[in-house]
Amino acid sequence: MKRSFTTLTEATLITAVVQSGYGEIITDALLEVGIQGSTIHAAMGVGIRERLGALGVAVDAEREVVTVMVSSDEVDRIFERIFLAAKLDVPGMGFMYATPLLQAATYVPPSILSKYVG
Amino acid sequence: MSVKIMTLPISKLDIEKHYLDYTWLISGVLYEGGTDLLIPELMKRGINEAHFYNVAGSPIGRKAVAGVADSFDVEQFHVVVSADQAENVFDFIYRTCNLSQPNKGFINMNKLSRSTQLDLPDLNDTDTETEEMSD
Repeated sequence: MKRSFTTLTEATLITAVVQSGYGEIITDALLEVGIQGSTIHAAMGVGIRERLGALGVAVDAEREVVTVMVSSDEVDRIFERIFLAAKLDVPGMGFMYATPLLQAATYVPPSILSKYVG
Repeated sequence: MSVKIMTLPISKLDIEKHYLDYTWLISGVLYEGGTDLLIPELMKRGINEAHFYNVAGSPIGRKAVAGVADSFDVEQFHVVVSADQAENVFDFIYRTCNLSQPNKGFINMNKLSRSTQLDLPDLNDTDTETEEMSD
């Protein structure tokens, strides 16, 4: 069987480092705008914990990191969506960034692929 | 007789004012841990946008049995820095983590198309909710 390899360009990886529990809120918000395939994992954050010194042990340092790969055309819309869902305009809630990708690859259904490949 | 009720226009949140478009992302892997020491040093220098997590992996030349790394201290970290400080912070991390030594780890740097800042709440602000005080 002949195997083909399809690469995607003009893609951007959006990463949001948010409070524990907000990962699912973000993925739900992304689903509402038709974005599937986001990934959540745990991480350690930094911030007010270090400022508090010994009292900082009472502060939860656990973070959730949400990563989602989107088309570069849609970055504006999705970046805004995540920003609002994670309440990043509130101090201490987290931060996010968008990294342009040179190349990406995944399974692309033949029905979609046929629209772009002659 | 009719009464006209005056309403004020609803202000729309301009979230683009929170965006930065001159930032770089420094990422790295430390094979012997140490990110928990690196990040407070970065915070002292005013860099709050950092996070790290544990990963599996081995440096070049170290044995791994059936894909299982012999160290569980391997950490991946990411730090967002402004473009004008990127070179200095990269150099600082390189020296702090002794990356000139073999098998310590590696770092790389990428330009970001946009990012947001992590503003920490003021400790003197008693109105700050517990949720917002979380790290």
